[in-house]
Parts: sequence; C-alpha cells; structure tokens
Amino acid sequence: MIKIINQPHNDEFSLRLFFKLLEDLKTKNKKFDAFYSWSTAFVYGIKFSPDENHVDGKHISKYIIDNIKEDLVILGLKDHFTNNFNPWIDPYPQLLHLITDIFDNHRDKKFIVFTSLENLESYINYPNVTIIPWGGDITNQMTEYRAFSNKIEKNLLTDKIFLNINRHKRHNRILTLSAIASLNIERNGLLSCMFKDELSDNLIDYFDYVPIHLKEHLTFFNKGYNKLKTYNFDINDDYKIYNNNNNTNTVNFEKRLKPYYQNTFVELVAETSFYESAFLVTEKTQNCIYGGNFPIWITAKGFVSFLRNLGLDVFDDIIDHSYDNIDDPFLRLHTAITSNQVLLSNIDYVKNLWVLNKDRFEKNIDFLNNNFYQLMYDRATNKFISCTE
Amino acid sequence: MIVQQTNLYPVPNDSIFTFLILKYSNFYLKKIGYWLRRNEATRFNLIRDNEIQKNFVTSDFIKQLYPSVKIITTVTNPWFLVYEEYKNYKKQNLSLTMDEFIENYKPNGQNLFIEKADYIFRNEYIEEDFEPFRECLGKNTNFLIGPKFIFDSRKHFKPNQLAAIEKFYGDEIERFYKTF
Repeated sequence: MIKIINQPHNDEFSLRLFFKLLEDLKTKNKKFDAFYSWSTAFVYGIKFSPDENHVDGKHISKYIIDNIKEDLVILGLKDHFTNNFNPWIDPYPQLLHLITDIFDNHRDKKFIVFTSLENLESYINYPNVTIIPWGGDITNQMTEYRAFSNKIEKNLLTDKIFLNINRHKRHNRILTLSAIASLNIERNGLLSCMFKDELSDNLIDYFDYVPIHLKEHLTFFNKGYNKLKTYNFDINDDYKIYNNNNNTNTVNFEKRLKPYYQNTFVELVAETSFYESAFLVTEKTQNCIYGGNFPIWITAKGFVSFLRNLGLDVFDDIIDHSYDNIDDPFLRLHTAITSNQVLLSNIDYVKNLWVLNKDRFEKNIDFLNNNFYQLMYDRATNKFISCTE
Repeated sequence: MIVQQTNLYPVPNDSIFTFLILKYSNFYLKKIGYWLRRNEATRFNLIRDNEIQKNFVTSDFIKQLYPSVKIITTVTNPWFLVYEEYKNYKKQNLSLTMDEFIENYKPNGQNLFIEKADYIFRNEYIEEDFEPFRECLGKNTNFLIGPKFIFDSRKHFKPNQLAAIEKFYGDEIERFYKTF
C-alpha cells in the first residue's frame, strides 16, 4: 500500500525517485507499506479531506501507525522538522517525536526513512530504522534550474560587495543582520529583512531563555540589532514571493534575485538550518551557486564539509570556512562573518578575486547540473538497494 | 455510452492516480481531484507531478516515470478543440477566417496523448463515465460536477467545417463520440 499524505510543490526529483525505488521493490515481489509526506503536514497539520476539520501532526502519525500492515515500511519525508527548535532545552527537534512515535509503535517492523535532512542519524537511532538522505530542497525544480546558463555576468561597477537575503524569520538571519550592522559593514551589502516590521524591541525576546553561549556574544549582536529597526534596507521585496501558493524558486531567482546576484560578489547564505545537527541544503545554496557568489554559509555545523566532500568548490583558498567545525552556533555565526570580514569590506580586492576565479563559479554550476543531482540520486538508490536485498 | 476498457474495472482500491492534462480538455480534473480527496479510500492516493502537469506531456511519458500509477484524464469533442484553437489563434490578432484556418489546419489529436491513460472520461458525459469508477471506490461519496459542459458545434461551425473536422479526427470521434 502506498499513501501520499501531502507533497511540497515542485518535488519531482524525490517523488519520482520514491516511485522508481518502490517499483523496483514490486518487481522483486516484496511487500511493503509506503507513506510520502511533506513535513509541513506534521508541522502545521492538514485536512484529511476538504470537508473535514484541520487536524494537527499527531493525527498524521496516528494515521500512519494505524495503517501499517506489512513488515517493511517506507517513509518518504520531504523538508525539515526543526521549527522553533531550541537545542539548549530540547534534546532533539520536538517534531521528530511525531516520527519516532511511529517507530515506537511498530518495533517489530523494518523501517526505511527517506529524508531531506543530512545527518538525521544524529537524532534518530533505532536498530530497525535505516535512514536514507535523498537530497534537501536543493533538488526541487532540478529541471528548471538545470536550464539556467552556466555563464555568469556581474556588474563590475557596482558599489555593493555582498548579498544577504532574509525572508522567513529565523534566528540565524536576525543574528546575521545584527552582526553585519554591528561591524558597520551594512552599506557594503545588498540586504533584505522581510520580517523587519515584526522585529521585537529586544534581541533577547527571541529566546525562551538566554543560553550561556549567546550571553558571551550578546553585546556584539545587540549593538547591531538596535540599528536594524530603523535601517533602510536596499531590498524591500514582498514576503509573498510565491503566487497562488505555487513555490517556484526558479521564477523567483530569474525575476527578482538575479539582479541582486549580478551586483554582488559574496553571499552570506542564511540557510534554513542553524542549531540542529541534522541539516537541510536548500535553494538558498542553489541560488548562490547559480548566482556565482563566494559563499559564506550561516547554517549548521558540517554543512560546508558536506558540500566540499561531494565535490563542490567551496573556495577554501579564498574563504575561511573554519567556522564550519564550531559547535556553538553563535560562535560559528560570529566566526563566519568576522573571519571573512575582508571579503565583506574591501570591494576592489573582492572584485579582482571574482574576476580571477570566474571559471570556478561556472564549473560549480556544471558540477550542480552534471554531478550533484546524480550523486544524490545514486546515493539514495544504492543505500536503498543494499538495505532491501 | 461509456467508453472504457472493461479490464480496468473494478478499480483496485490500492491504486495511486495522477492526472494527464490535455489542452482545452481539463474542465473536470479539479472536480475529480476533489472527489478523490473527499473519498476516504482515495484521499491519499493522488500524486501531483508539476512538471508533467504543466507541460502537456503524453501518457506514455508519465508511464515511464510512474509505471504502476493509474492515469486519469478527460477528453473533449474535437469540434470544441478546434474552436478553442481558433479562438486562441484570433487572440494573437491573426487574420485567417475560420474556413481558411480549417483549410490550413494540422490535426493535433488527443489520441496521441492518451494512449496509455487508464481512466478516460468525456467532459460531455462526465457523470455517466465517472460512475463506474465512483461505484468501485466510493459509491457513498457524491461526485458534484457543477455546471455541465455543453458545446453545440452546429452553432459555431458551418456544415462543411463540421465535416472537415470530422475528417481530421475520425479515429477520435469513432472512439469517443460515435453518437455525439
């Protein structure tokens, strides 16, 4: 039995892979139950039917638990489970309970879990569960992204050095903007803060309690945070970038983001994951690659290492990525920015670097188009085959 | 007359479905999707592949990606399709009359796209065609279509034009609209 509980927009890569692998199992006459879902179903709940009331994520877990009949259960899970995760209070992202409840209720079954998250094993460790990463949201709209040219054009007369775009309000984005302002380098960047009107009076308001790790950096971040509320951001795009609830990141890239990339050379990529050890690689990284900017990632530990190991050129000779090994998220963020301050400040130096390394950006696009998606596909396929043989 | 391959019924209740969208023919696919979502047995049995749904692909293409997924589609009589194509043509401020348009017309039939579709429902007879499907999977869930699809080809075409279109789409008419 296969059940498609809900799907994100433009997830053809994962959906097709999911069905391809299930078809292969069918040809081997293996019996299984399979469930495919977008994590938003667990985060925000869904309507089981258009006529019924909205139910929360617990009901989806229960639905899956109640409908498992076979000994082999395959879960295809898109996106992340870490909204409002506070690593100092919660041992792991609360929403993962909704998934582990399924394993707890069927300890006699064998589970295969496809996930958009890398390193989910750091949170889920059951002897009867095999975790298979199938690439993050970076795989969505693969076909459309692949159609983009690998030729990158920049306006070498621009007076902006770096890009930092922030749509959905997340701690790493608030803190990145605060750090930029604190270092007085905000005028060097093209910045957006689509949640500017929702900024609290005090930075501290965002935290249920103030972790010791943040306290050490509070003065630094506070100084910049207090400037944000009155700062006139260069980019003031509407939060509603997806018309008709249709998530088209490629259209957003082409119509809105491309000029921002053409007028900058470095990006502080404020990814979705930050605190969590299981992280998501999203279109934010994809846009940076197709936009041809030097990437400094404001995200989870190990993120840069993951991309480097796959074969992406992360410009180690130019960017100090030592922040990627730092456990403390606030120190990681602080180090990412301060240790690369020259790349965020010296425009002639950066422009020259960019020109000298232009071919490397284009090679990275080729890598994404020709290798990355295939690597994600092959990695998931091979692991699936080896655990179902 | 219900036009279906009889071996497709009864519909297996563990089937997963997807839609094949044909140009100018998808009036009731949303309603069918709504029915599948309301019906307890099928509410989680529908997949959406945006790429195939945006690009008017063939059923053969869909089956290559999803071999065991059942394809649902809706077809429309060819006279309506030609009428819509002409309307679309005129929107571009082009000058051919309907007679000239038909004279230069290159058939682009639905048959090419639906070869491997599993459940084909005619817009003109949607309730009747959908009934055996509904009977198999959820006879207690009503199929509410809203306004009926009506197209009187004689109002829009002259007899010679009707006959020309019938020639272009003889196979399709024979298969779906013999008594239309």
